[in-house]
Amino acid sequence: MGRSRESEISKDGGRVTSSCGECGIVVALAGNPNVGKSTLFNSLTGMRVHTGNWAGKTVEVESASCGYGITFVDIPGTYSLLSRSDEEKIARDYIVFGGADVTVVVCDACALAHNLGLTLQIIETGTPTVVAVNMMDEAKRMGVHVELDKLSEALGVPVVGTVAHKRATLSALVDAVTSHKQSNGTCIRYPEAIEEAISPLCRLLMRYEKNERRARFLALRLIDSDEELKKSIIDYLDVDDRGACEISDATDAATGYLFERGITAFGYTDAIVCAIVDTADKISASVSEGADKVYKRTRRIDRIFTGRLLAYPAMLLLLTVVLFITLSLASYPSAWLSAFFSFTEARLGQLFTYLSAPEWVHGLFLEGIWRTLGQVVAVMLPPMVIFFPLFSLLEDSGYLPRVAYNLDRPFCACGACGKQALTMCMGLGCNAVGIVGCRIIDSPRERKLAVLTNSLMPCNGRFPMLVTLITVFYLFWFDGGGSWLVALTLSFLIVLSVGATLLVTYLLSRTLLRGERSAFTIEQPPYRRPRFLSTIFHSLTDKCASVLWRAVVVALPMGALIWIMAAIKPDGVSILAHVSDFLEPVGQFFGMDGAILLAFMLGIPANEIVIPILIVIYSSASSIGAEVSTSYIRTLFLENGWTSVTAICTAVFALFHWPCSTSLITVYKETKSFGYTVLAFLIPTGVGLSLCAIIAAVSRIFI
Amino acid sequence: MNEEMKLLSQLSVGESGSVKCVTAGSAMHRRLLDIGLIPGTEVVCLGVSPLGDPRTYLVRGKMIAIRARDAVSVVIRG
Repeated sequence: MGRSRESEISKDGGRVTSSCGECGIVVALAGNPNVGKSTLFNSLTGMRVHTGNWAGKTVEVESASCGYGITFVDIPGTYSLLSRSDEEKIARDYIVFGGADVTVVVCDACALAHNLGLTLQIIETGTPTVVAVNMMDEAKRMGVHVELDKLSEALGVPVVGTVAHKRATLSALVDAVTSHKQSNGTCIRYPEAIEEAISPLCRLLMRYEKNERRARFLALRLIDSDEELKKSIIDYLDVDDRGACEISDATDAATGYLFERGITAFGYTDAIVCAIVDTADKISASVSEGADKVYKRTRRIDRIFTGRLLAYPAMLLLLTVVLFITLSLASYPSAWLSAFFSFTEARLGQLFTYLSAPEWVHGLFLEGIWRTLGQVVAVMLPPMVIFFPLFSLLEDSGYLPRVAYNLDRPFCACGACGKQALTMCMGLGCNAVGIVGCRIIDSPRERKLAVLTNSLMPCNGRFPMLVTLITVFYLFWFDGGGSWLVALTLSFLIVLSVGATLLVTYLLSRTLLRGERSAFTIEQPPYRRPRFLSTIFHSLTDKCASVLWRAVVVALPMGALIWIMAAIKPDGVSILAHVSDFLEPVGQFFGMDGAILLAFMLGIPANEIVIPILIVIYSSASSIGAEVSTSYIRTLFLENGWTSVTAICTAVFALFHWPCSTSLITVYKETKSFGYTVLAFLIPTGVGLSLCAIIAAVSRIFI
Repeated sequence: MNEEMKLLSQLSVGESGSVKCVTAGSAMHRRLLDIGLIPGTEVVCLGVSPLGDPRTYLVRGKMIAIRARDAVSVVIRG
């Protein structure tokens, strides 16, 4: 039913063509952030774009057909067409210049007063508009009532009530879209002086633009002093130089007229925004009621989650609980997957013997590639399929913006903003996902801060490694520790990561990334009961596929390489051993050893294989072995000279070392800069090596 | 005239007022207007973050957190 594709929207717009080559109609899906636009888009097109209950999530322009002969284009959420940030400019440019046939404005039934501002602006652009009042089920549950017919009358455009998972409402929306072709709708009345000023300019523009509404809109925008937009408008209207001069003169005349009446450029935008917000308010007050009560229940809950005494303990508690559930449940599917891979390996082995395949084929494909793949999948997959659904449930319930709210002050003090905390939470799941998620941060400077420091947070791939190291450490000392102790220690390490992130952010914002603070506000959406089944299902299907794929792509060549390095033994000693001996002095300096460093280096494609590689080196095995017990690991490590200092340094290095290759590639894709990618590599490495050097030095002095 | 003028950042929790004007520099100015803090709007201070900043305000039915440094540029009539 749906096909997905990203569309590049260039600066001066560009028509999106349907993916299957038909000339179906193109429908733009616009709206404020956090109105359920992406969920609606998914439902209409059958696509799976990851959504969440906080503003700013959708950041690419996605388009897909839905089989009705319609191509929907999902535009980034924006508060207004009089924009500031890059994402909002993309949205504005597409809506105004992109040439969609119909624009659907998605509104939140519970927050109509806020959403109608953008709606009115879009109607003002002259594009045929349909309004979708979304989340009607939420509204009903919260006691908010919206009169759709009255709203339609007030706005002058069709209005449809939608609930993303109710087919009937979607069909109604599609019907409204396909049958609506005109572009009339209500006009916003601006103060007298402005109306008079734009009148002559409007008449001039109507020479080039037949649509009267659109001409009026363009006239209003030309008087705003946005040079970029002015140029886009001139290009769009396709005027010759003489025409451009005329328009320029008329614009200046209008600006002069306003100035004479005491309206400066600044005051002009103010007057415009006030008129829009005021009109939106009046309309919403006349068609909806109960919206102002929505916040009461949420505030009661917020007394816990943002209250002075309980907020931080609640956050830490939630973190520990999520980790505990993830780690304790993950061991079961891990065991099953391991068993599956061993079973298949045995069968394939028999097949190879039957085919009289040579020894090295057996080695390379089974012991190298297949076993590494098995390791990666059995270890990576289970924690992820537990963590991401849990995280998505928190997201869906509306809790995550509270985290940004609670942590804004320390981040602000470090030159960043509270939204970075959200990207760090995403990084706990997967650093690459966290880095992409940094797009929710408006300010480019703060976004870079978040991107560069994301890998300081340990991702799911590192949890098993950290758990093993912690468990081994406690085995050295106490002959064991309960899983609660391990979870608590892991939480402590995460808090350590948070501290490191804040410190590095502070240093960066004083040195390389100096600059202005951003214009920051954060919406606190009402709490809602998460849609359990739907969220879990989508989280699994979203994440499983990409994770499995990444595992396969990465494990195959790495498995081959490791086997080659382990099995080929010039002078009777494997390449692995040669290299690890070579690195030994360096390793020792940092409180580790050569083998550990080598394992981390070879583990750059996926942190999950670091410990398995280490075991191979220590045991001089010729390949990665099957799953081993922690007591075996402890014995093996002790035999190879491990002390508790080694365990500590390795754990610290596991937290702070170079990002995995997927993350590095993602940093490059997001920043488009080789320099920043190198920085992203160096920063966590620097932190890790410094800490390890200090710990090692201290231990040499005192022990 | 006995109007009590305050800054948005000076509203204590539970207190409300109506916006008189916004005096911010350009970037923040637009953002504040866009979220609905235009003259005449009722605002209520709902709560404060555990570390004292930002505060949550109720603006036209939406709960929005604004930092003190930015809230000082909104003048409220008590």
